[in-house]
Amino acid sequence: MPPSPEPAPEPAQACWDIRDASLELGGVDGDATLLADLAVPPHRPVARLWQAAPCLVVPHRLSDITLFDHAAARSARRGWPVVTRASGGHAVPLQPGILNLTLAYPAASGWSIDAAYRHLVGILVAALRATGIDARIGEVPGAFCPGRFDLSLGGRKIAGTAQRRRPLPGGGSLVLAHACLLAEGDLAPALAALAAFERELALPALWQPARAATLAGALPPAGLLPPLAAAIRSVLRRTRPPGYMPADHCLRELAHHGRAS
Amino acid sequence: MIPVVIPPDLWEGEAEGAVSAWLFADGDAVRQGDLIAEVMVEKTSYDVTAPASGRLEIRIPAERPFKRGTVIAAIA
Repeated sequence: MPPSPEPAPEPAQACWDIRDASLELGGVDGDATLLADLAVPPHRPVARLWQAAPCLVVPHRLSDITLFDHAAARSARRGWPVVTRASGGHAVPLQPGILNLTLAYPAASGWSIDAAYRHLVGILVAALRATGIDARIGEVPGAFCPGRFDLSLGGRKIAGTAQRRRPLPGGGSLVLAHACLLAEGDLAPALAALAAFERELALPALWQPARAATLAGALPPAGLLPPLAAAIRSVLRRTRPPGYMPADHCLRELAHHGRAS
Repeated sequence: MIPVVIPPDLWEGEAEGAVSAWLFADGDAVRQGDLIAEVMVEKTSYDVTAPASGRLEIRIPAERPFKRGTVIAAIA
Protein backbone atom coordinates (compact mmCIF):
# COMPACT_ATOMS: atom_id res chain seq x y z
CA MET A 1 0.00 0.00 0.00
CA PRO A 2 1.56 3.32 -1.00
CA PRO A 3 2.35 5.69 1.89
CA SER A 4 -0.04 8.55 2.48
CA PRO A 5 1.17 11.78 0.90
CA GLU A 6 2.64 14.38 3.21
CA PRO A 7 -0.01 16.89 4.24
CA ALA A 8 0.35 20.24 2.51
CA PRO A 9 2.05 22.80 4.74
CA GLU A 10 -0.36 25.29 6.26
CA PRO A 11 -0.22 28.80 4.86
CA ALA A 12 1.50 31.43 6.97
CA GLN A 13 -1.86 33.08 7.63
CA ALA A 14 -3.10 29.99 9.51
CA CYS A 15 -1.13 30.67 12.66
CA TRP A 16 0.00 33.60 14.74
CA ASP A 17 3.44 35.13 14.40
CA ILE A 18 4.07 35.53 18.13
CA ARG A 19 6.54 38.33 18.77
CA ASP A 20 8.49 39.71 21.70
CA ALA A 21 8.28 36.47 23.58
CA SER A 22 10.99 37.69 25.92
CA LEU A 23 8.62 40.40 27.24
CA GLU A 24 11.26 43.05 26.87
CA LEU A 25 10.12 46.65 27.22
CA GLY A 26 9.18 46.94 23.57
CA GLY A 27 6.97 49.96 24.12
CA VAL A 28 4.03 51.43 22.32
CA ASP A 29 5.98 52.19 19.14
CA GLY A 30 5.99 48.51 18.19
CA ASP A 31 2.25 48.64 17.47
CA ALA A 32 2.53 51.63 15.18
CA THR A 33 3.81 49.69 12.16
CA LEU A 34 1.80 46.49 12.59
CA LEU A 35 -1.10 47.48 10.33
CA ALA A 36 1.23 48.74 7.60
CA ASP A 37 3.26 45.52 7.81
CA LEU A 38 0.07 43.46 7.71
CA ALA A 39 -1.02 45.11 4.47
CA VAL A 40 2.01 43.58 2.72
CA PRO A 41 2.12 39.89 1.69
CA PRO A 42 2.12 37.33 3.22
CA HIS A 43 -0.38 39.16 5.53
CA ARG A 44 0.63 36.93 8.41
CA PRO A 45 -1.31 37.69 11.59
CA VAL A 46 0.83 38.94 14.45
CA ALA A 47 0.38 38.53 18.18
CA ARG A 48 2.63 40.81 20.17
CA LEU A 49 3.23 40.46 23.90
CA TRP A 50 4.92 43.47 25.40
CA GLN A 51 5.50 45.76 28.33
CA ALA A 52 6.45 49.42 28.42
CA ALA A 53 8.49 51.74 30.60
CA PRO A 54 6.26 54.11 32.62
CA CYS A 55 4.23 56.32 30.30
CA LEU A 56 0.73 57.55 29.61
CA VAL A 57 -0.77 56.36 26.33
CA VAL A 58 -3.53 58.50 24.87
CA PRO A 59 -5.68 58.31 21.73
CA HIS A 60 -4.23 60.80 19.30
CA ARG A 61 -7.49 62.82 19.20
CA LEU A 62 -6.56 64.12 22.68
CA SER A 63 -3.54 65.85 21.16
CA ASP A 64 -6.00 68.26 19.49
CA ILE A 65 -6.90 69.72 22.90
CA THR A 66 -5.35 73.15 23.35
CA LEU A 67 -3.84 72.29 26.74
CA PHE A 68 -2.30 69.04 25.50
CA ASP A 69 1.30 70.16 24.88
CA HIS A 70 1.51 71.87 28.26
CA ALA A 71 -0.03 68.91 30.12
CA ALA A 72 2.19 66.42 28.28
CA ALA A 73 5.33 68.40 29.12
CA ARG A 74 4.39 68.53 32.82
CA SER A 75 3.63 64.80 32.81
CA ALA A 76 7.02 64.06 31.26
CA ARG A 77 8.74 66.09 33.97
CA ARG A 78 6.92 63.96 36.55
CA GLY A 79 8.41 60.85 34.91
CA TRP A 80 5.39 59.89 32.84
CA PRO A 81 5.99 60.80 29.19
CA VAL A 82 2.86 60.92 27.05
CA VAL A 83 2.64 58.78 23.91
CA THR A 84 -0.20 58.87 21.39
CA ARG A 85 -1.78 55.74 19.96
CA ALA A 86 -4.03 55.02 16.98
CA SER A 87 -6.71 52.97 18.76
CA GLY A 88 -9.74 54.42 20.51
CA GLY A 89 -10.70 54.89 24.15
CA HIS A 90 -9.22 57.15 26.80
CA ALA A 91 -5.80 57.78 28.33
CA VAL A 92 -4.24 54.87 30.21
CA PRO A 93 -0.99 54.36 32.14
CA LEU A 94 1.52 51.71 31.17
CA GLN A 95 4.46 50.46 33.22
CA PRO A 96 6.40 47.23 33.78
CA GLY A 97 3.98 44.67 35.19
CA ILE A 98 1.18 45.71 32.84
CA LEU A 99 1.17 43.00 30.18
CA ASN A 100 -0.02 44.09 26.74
CA LEU A 101 -1.36 41.79 24.04
CA THR A 102 -1.75 43.25 20.55
CA LEU A 103 -3.31 41.20 17.77
CA ALA A 104 -3.00 42.38 14.16
CA TYR A 105 -4.77 40.41 11.43
CA PRO A 106 -6.88 40.69 8.28
CA ALA A 107 -10.57 39.98 8.76
CA ALA A 108 -13.42 39.33 6.34
CA SER A 109 -16.55 41.47 6.07
CA GLY A 110 -18.87 40.68 8.92
CA TRP A 111 -16.11 40.37 11.53
CA SER A 112 -17.59 43.06 13.70
CA ILE A 113 -15.92 45.19 16.35
CA ASP A 114 -17.78 43.16 18.97
CA ALA A 115 -16.61 39.86 17.48
CA ALA A 116 -13.00 41.06 17.53
CA TYR A 117 -13.32 42.12 21.17
CA ARG A 118 -14.92 38.79 22.13
CA HIS A 119 -12.06 37.01 20.37
CA LEU A 120 -9.39 39.12 22.10
CA VAL A 121 -10.80 38.77 25.61
CA GLY A 122 -11.55 35.10 24.91
CA ILE A 123 -7.81 34.52 24.57
CA LEU A 124 -7.14 36.30 27.85
CA VAL A 125 -9.98 34.57 29.71
CA ALA A 126 -8.74 31.17 28.51
CA ALA A 127 -5.16 32.00 29.55
CA LEU A 128 -6.24 33.35 32.94
CA ARG A 129 -8.39 30.28 33.56
CA ALA A 130 -5.33 28.11 32.85
CA THR A 131 -3.56 29.92 35.71
CA GLY A 132 -6.53 29.50 38.05
CA ILE A 133 -8.05 32.97 37.59
CA ASP A 134 -11.73 33.26 36.64
CA ALA A 135 -12.15 36.75 35.14
CA ARG A 136 -15.46 38.37 34.23
CA ILE A 137 -16.09 40.22 30.95
CA GLY A 138 -17.92 43.54 31.17
CA GLU A 139 -17.65 47.22 32.00
CA VAL A 140 -16.58 48.08 35.54
CA PRO A 141 -18.51 51.16 36.69
CA GLY A 142 -16.15 53.90 37.82
CA ALA A 143 -12.98 52.37 36.38
CA PHE A 144 -10.57 54.35 34.19
CA CYS A 145 -11.00 54.00 30.41
CA PRO A 146 -14.19 51.93 30.73
CA GLY A 147 -15.40 49.55 28.04
CA ARG A 148 -17.92 46.73 27.56
CA PHE A 149 -15.08 44.29 26.98
CA ASP A 150 -13.02 45.01 30.07
CA LEU A 151 -12.02 42.13 32.35
CA SER A 152 -12.59 42.26 36.09
CA LEU A 153 -11.86 40.24 39.17
CA GLY A 154 -13.75 40.80 42.38
CA GLY A 155 -15.53 43.76 40.83
CA ARG A 156 -12.30 45.59 39.98
CA LYS A 157 -10.91 46.15 36.49
CA ILE A 158 -7.91 44.04 35.59
CA ALA A 159 -7.80 44.53 31.81
CA GLY A 160 -8.95 47.02 29.20
CA THR A 161 -9.28 46.78 25.43
CA ALA A 162 -9.27 48.97 22.33
CA GLN A 163 -9.12 48.52 18.54
CA ARG A 164 -8.12 50.20 15.35
CA ARG A 165 -9.59 49.21 11.99
CA ARG A 166 -8.52 49.98 8.47
CA PRO A 167 -10.88 48.90 5.65
CA LEU A 168 -9.50 46.87 2.76
CA PRO A 169 -10.33 47.94 -0.82
CA GLY A 170 -11.93 44.62 -1.68
CA GLY A 171 -13.95 44.32 1.54
CA GLY A 172 -13.08 43.33 5.07
CA SER A 173 -10.55 45.16 7.17
CA LEU A 174 -7.20 45.07 8.90
CA VAL A 175 -7.74 44.78 12.63
CA LEU A 176 -5.45 45.86 15.44
CA ALA A 177 -6.90 44.71 18.75
CA HIS A 178 -5.12 45.59 21.97
CA ALA A 179 -5.57 44.56 25.58
CA CYS A 180 -3.61 45.68 28.61
CA LEU A 181 -3.69 43.32 31.56
CA LEU A 182 -2.91 44.79 34.97
CA ALA A 183 -0.80 41.87 36.12
CA GLU A 184 1.47 43.16 38.87
CA GLY A 185 3.19 46.25 40.29
CA ASP A 186 1.96 49.28 42.21
CA LEU A 187 -0.90 50.95 40.35
CA ALA A 188 -1.16 53.94 42.70
CA PRO A 189 1.61 56.09 41.15
CA ALA A 190 0.43 55.23 37.64
CA LEU A 191 -3.17 56.19 38.36
CA ALA A 192 -2.03 59.35 40.16
CA ALA A 193 -0.04 60.34 37.07
CA LEU A 194 -3.07 59.68 34.87
CA ALA A 195 -5.34 61.73 37.13
CA ALA A 196 -2.89 64.66 37.19
CA PHE A 197 -2.58 64.63 33.39
CA GLU A 198 -6.36 64.59 32.89
CA ARG A 199 -6.80 67.46 35.41
CA GLU A 200 -4.31 69.53 33.44
CA LEU A 201 -6.32 68.81 30.29
CA ALA A 202 -9.41 70.10 32.15
CA LEU A 203 -11.10 66.75 31.59
CA PRO A 204 -13.81 65.73 34.08
CA ALA A 205 -12.82 63.25 36.81
CA LEU A 206 -14.98 60.27 35.88
CA TRP A 207 -13.17 57.36 37.48
CA GLN A 208 -11.91 56.21 40.87
CA PRO A 209 -8.54 54.50 41.43
CA ALA A 210 -10.12 51.86 43.67
CA ARG A 211 -12.11 50.44 40.75
CA ALA A 212 -8.98 48.90 39.22
CA ALA A 213 -6.53 46.36 40.62
CA THR A 214 -3.68 44.15 39.56
CA LEU A 215 -3.95 40.40 39.55
CA ALA A 216 -1.12 40.31 42.06
CA GLY A 217 -3.21 42.55 44.33
CA ALA A 218 -6.00 39.99 44.35
CA LEU A 219 -3.93 36.86 44.60
CA PRO A 220 -1.00 35.91 46.85
CA PRO A 221 1.67 34.66 44.37
CA ALA A 222 4.31 37.02 43.03
CA GLY A 223 5.97 36.71 39.63
CA LEU A 224 2.74 36.41 37.65
CA LEU A 225 4.05 37.73 34.36
CA PRO A 226 6.01 34.67 33.13
CA PRO A 227 3.22 32.10 33.69
CA LEU A 228 0.59 34.53 32.35
CA ALA A 229 2.60 35.21 29.21
CA ALA A 230 3.22 31.48 28.77
CA ALA A 231 -0.51 30.76 29.15
CA ILE A 232 -1.37 33.43 26.54
CA ARG A 233 1.19 32.02 24.11
CA SER A 234 -0.24 28.55 24.68
CA VAL A 235 -3.75 29.72 23.78
CA LEU A 236 -2.43 31.57 20.71
CA ARG A 237 -0.61 28.46 19.49
CA ARG A 238 -3.74 26.33 19.88
CA THR A 239 -6.09 28.73 18.07
CA ARG A 240 -6.17 30.21 14.60
CA PRO A 241 -6.35 33.88 13.65
CA PRO A 242 -9.87 35.07 12.79
CA GLY A 243 -9.00 35.85 9.18
CA TYR A 244 -8.30 32.18 8.52
CA MET A 245 -11.52 30.87 9.98
CA PRO A 246 -15.18 31.68 9.64
CA ALA A 247 -16.03 34.15 12.40
CA ASP A 248 -18.38 31.91 14.38
CA HIS A 249 -16.01 28.95 14.17
CA CYS A 250 -13.19 31.04 15.63
CA LEU A 251 -15.28 32.08 18.62
CA ARG A 252 -16.50 28.51 19.22
CA GLU A 253 -12.88 27.31 19.14
CA LEU A 254 -11.89 29.81 21.79
CA ALA A 255 -14.85 28.90 23.97
CA HIS A 256 -13.81 25.23 23.72
CA HIS A 257 -10.24 26.01 24.77
CA GLY A 258 -11.51 28.12 27.63
CA ARG A 259 -13.63 25.25 28.94
CA ALA A 260 -10.88 22.69 28.38
CA SER A 261 -8.16 24.67 30.18
CA MET B 1 -23.79 61.07 -5.69
CA ILE B 2 -21.89 58.28 -3.89
CA PRO B 3 -22.79 57.89 -0.21
CA VAL B 4 -20.10 57.42 2.44
CA VAL B 5 -21.64 54.88 4.81
CA ILE B 6 -20.12 53.13 7.76
CA PRO B 7 -20.64 49.38 7.12
CA PRO B 8 -23.85 48.44 8.96
CA ASP B 9 -22.23 45.25 10.28
CA LEU B 10 -19.18 47.05 11.69
CA TRP B 11 -20.62 46.99 15.18
CA GLU B 12 -23.59 45.42 16.93
CA GLY B 13 -26.43 46.72 19.02
CA GLU B 14 -27.54 50.28 19.59
CA ALA B 15 -24.17 51.89 20.33
CA GLU B 16 -23.54 55.16 18.52
CA GLY B 17 -20.38 56.22 16.75
CA ALA B 18 -19.03 59.68 16.08
CA VAL B 19 -16.60 61.20 13.63
CA SER B 20 -13.63 62.16 15.78
CA ALA B 21 -11.97 64.00 12.88
CA TRP B 22 -12.76 64.97 9.30
CA LEU B 23 -9.46 65.04 7.41
CA PHE B 24 -10.90 67.11 4.57
CA ALA B 25 -13.24 70.08 4.69
CA ASP B 26 -16.74 70.16 3.25
CA GLY B 27 -16.43 70.86 -0.48
CA ASP B 28 -12.83 69.62 -0.79
CA ALA B 29 -11.82 67.45 -3.72
CA VAL B 30 -10.97 63.91 -2.70
CA ARG B 31 -9.66 60.89 -4.57
CA GLN B 32 -10.96 57.37 -4.29
CA GLY B 33 -9.14 55.66 -1.45
CA ASP B 34 -8.18 58.87 0.36
CA LEU B 35 -8.44 58.64 4.13
CA ILE B 36 -11.17 61.21 4.75
CA ALA B 37 -12.29 60.68 8.36
CA GLU B 38 -11.74 58.79 11.56
CA VAL B 39 -14.78 57.36 13.32
CA MET B 40 -14.75 56.34 16.97
CA VAL B 41 -17.15 53.72 18.32
CA GLU B 42 -16.84 51.30 21.23
CA LYS B 43 -13.22 52.36 21.89
CA THR B 44 -12.41 51.53 18.27
CA SER B 45 -10.89 53.90 15.78
CA TYR B 46 -12.14 53.19 12.24
CA ASP B 47 -10.56 54.73 9.13
CA VAL B 48 -13.07 56.00 6.57
CA THR B 49 -11.85 56.13 2.98
CA ALA B 50 -13.44 57.86 0.00
CA PRO B 51 -15.43 55.35 -2.10
CA ALA B 52 -15.00 57.50 -5.21
CA SER B 53 -13.26 60.63 -6.47
CA GLY B 54 -15.12 63.92 -6.40
CA ARG B 55 -16.23 66.67 -4.04
CA LEU B 56 -16.80 65.79 -0.41
CA GLU B 57 -20.16 66.74 1.10
CA ILE B 58 -20.13 66.27 4.86
CA ARG B 59 -23.52 65.26 6.28
CA ILE B 60 -22.55 64.51 9.91
CA PRO B 61 -20.21 66.98 11.65
CA ALA B 62 -17.44 65.82 13.96
CA GLU B 63 -18.46 64.77 17.48
CA ARG B 64 -22.16 64.33 16.63
CA PRO B 65 -23.30 60.77 17.53
CA PHE B 66 -24.81 58.62 14.80
CA LYS B 67 -26.20 55.11 14.55
CA ARG B 68 -24.65 52.39 12.39
CA GLY B 69 -25.69 52.47 8.76
CA THR B 70 -25.84 56.29 8.77
CA VAL B 71 -24.70 58.15 5.64
CA ILE B 72 -22.04 60.43 7.08
CA ALA B 73 -21.04 62.09 3.82
CA ALA B 74 -21.37 61.86 0.06
CA ILE B 75 -19.04 62.26 -2.90
CA ALA B 76 -20.51 64.44 -5.61
